[in-house]
Amino acid sequence: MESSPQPSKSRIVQNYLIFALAIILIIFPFYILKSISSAVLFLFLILISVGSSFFFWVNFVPFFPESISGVISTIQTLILSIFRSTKSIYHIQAGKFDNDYFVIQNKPKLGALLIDENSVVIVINNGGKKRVCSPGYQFINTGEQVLHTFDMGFHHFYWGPLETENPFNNHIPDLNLNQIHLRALRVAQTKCQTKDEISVVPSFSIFYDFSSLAGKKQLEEMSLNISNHFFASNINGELQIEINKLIGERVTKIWKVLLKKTNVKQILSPTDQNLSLMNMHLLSINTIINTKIAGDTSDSHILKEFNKLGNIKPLEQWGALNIRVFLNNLWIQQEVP
Amino acid sequence: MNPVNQQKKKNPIKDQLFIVNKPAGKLRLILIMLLFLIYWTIVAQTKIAPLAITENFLALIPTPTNFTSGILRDIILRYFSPSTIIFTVTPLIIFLSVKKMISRYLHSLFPSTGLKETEQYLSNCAFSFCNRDFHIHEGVHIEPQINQEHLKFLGGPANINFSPSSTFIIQNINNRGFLLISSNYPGNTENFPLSHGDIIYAVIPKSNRQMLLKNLKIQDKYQRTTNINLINLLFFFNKSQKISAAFISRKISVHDARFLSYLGYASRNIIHHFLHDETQNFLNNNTSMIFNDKSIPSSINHVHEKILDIAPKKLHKNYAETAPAIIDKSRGVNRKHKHSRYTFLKKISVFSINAKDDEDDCKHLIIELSNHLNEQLKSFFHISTIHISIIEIGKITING
Repeated sequence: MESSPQPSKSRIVQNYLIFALAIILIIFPFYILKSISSAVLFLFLILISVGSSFFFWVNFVPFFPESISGVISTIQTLILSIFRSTKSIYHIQAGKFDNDYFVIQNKPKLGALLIDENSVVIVINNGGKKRVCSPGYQFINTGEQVLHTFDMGFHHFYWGPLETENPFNNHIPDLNLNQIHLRALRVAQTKCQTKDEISVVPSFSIFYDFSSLAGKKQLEEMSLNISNHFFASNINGELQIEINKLIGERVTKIWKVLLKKTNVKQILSPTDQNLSLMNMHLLSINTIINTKIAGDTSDSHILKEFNKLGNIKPLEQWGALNIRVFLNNLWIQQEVP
Repeated sequence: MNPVNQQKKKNPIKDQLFIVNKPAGKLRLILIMLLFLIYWTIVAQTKIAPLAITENFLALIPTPTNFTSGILRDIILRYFSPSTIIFTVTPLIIFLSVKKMISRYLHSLFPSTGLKETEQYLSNCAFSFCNRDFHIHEGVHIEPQINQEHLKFLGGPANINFSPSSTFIIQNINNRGFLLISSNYPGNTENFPLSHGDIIYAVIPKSNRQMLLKNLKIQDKYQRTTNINLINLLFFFNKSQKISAAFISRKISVHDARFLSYLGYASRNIIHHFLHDETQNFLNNNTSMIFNDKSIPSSINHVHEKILDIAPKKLHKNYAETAPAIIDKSRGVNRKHKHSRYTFLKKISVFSINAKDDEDDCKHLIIELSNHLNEQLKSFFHISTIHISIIEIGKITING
């Protein structure tokens, strides 16, 4: 569906006022000035006034760039924003646009972005070249469009059925078709089989963030890496849900490999007084999923598991990503033989 | 001096010209008025821009009859002639129009900040017209007001009156550093001057530094279920780095700031879930701390193997909600409890861990759990100045 933003009423009034002011202040005096030299002088006066006024006021807005070139770009963006019918400056908070930029088919021309501390914005130009916009007030060059946004803060999501949602209980009253469908999708996320071919459905609670103690350069590289991964799959826009999905899928992948070597009886019996097999599997998942390229894994058993998995691409390349997986619940379908 | 202002600037001349504080604002106002008067006088005296209508304007003013009226006529002709007025007023109107334009621009960027607020903000920065006071009280995060939204996006200059129980984080827009501000004297409402270029990153009332973990369920290898009604946690900070007369300010890392900001908003749930899961995990791996295994007869060591041989039963912490399939197959297991010789395994007992008899166990549990949570918070959230302590453990119910 195609949609385009409509200029607000106040904006139309503002444009009329500016037009009237321009006629009164700029055009009209030229008709009543006696000589050309006076007209030139008046024009010069207007230009000086506009320039110095912008320079004066812009300096009091702290997030505007401080360099001269930055001030000039800001003034240019400000002036252009007056004459454009659509908004050209957007605020990005928690990895989200303050309007439906990604939904709009004919993307509005962007002037500048104000990006908050936790957000990452990746823009792409006509030539397909990408760049990462860091937090703060950032100008968007001609021909550039926002490709991806995401939040680097803390996130939490459930993967698999909800904690109290028994996937094998098919007789739940008051569920509509939509809810039944969603339930089935959640079960499908984590459903797998043990060595003795018994269906098992875990519910995971997953936390992650990108706040590992990495430098700015590493964070930029990782952001581009994330963008490249999703761009290759033709996924654009806000990436949070996609990142959740990717992490969840990798957790399921590791879980499946671990469970293939496990009987249900082993799951139900303690292998150690304090540490059950499930806890050991959970430890393995957490270690494997946080293993990075060139990282060191001291546990040889876990390293072996990791090698069997091949790679947990692309998470192993995202150096600043920190994941913590908890097992909320576990349901087993069949009776133990 | 406000510690936020201590950062070194790279552009001294420009910074001195546009420095934002009360005396500088007044001085700027006086200078601009003086400049305007000088400019008006130059335009009036030099008659640099005569207009076509000036001659008609002259005809409107009567010829002078004495010396005083002659001077008045001359002043009016020079200072209030249409050409002088146009040349003088035009820059002034442009100056004010540009201000209006920028305030509209800021309003469009932060729609939650009112247009009036953005105009006042610019006037206050440039000429220190009015001293803005803001009040931060408990629960301010629940109902964000326009004023506070304004401080969040545009920042100071402003005076912030905050209740002693509140703590807030300010961020410098230029160097992106964070400061944690709290009151030094509990009981007094403090006044903090928020500088230009500093924004309120987060407000964390005392109540938000407390976290309750409710209904923790764990199960040990003897099938005993333990419900811990409540664990009360409190976040606190390391000793301050800098103490001024009224408030304490600490430099904190971006990780600390992010973590604290999450405590103050809806995202608080993330930290709550994390602590809940970590606590559950810890208790499952350390059940002996709660069950005090000394109370179990040594014969149980031989018995529990038998029980497990009879029928494997859910043992993992998360099996409390196991599927009906499991329950069906475990009927035999349930039955064995009916005639069990090991009655101590199924008796229901309720006790408070704070009772005198269990004081040592309680202390041990608190210390171990606190250490575990601090370790996990540090490893996952990378926090450095924030710590957690357990201030209360509620009733523990053991159901055998």
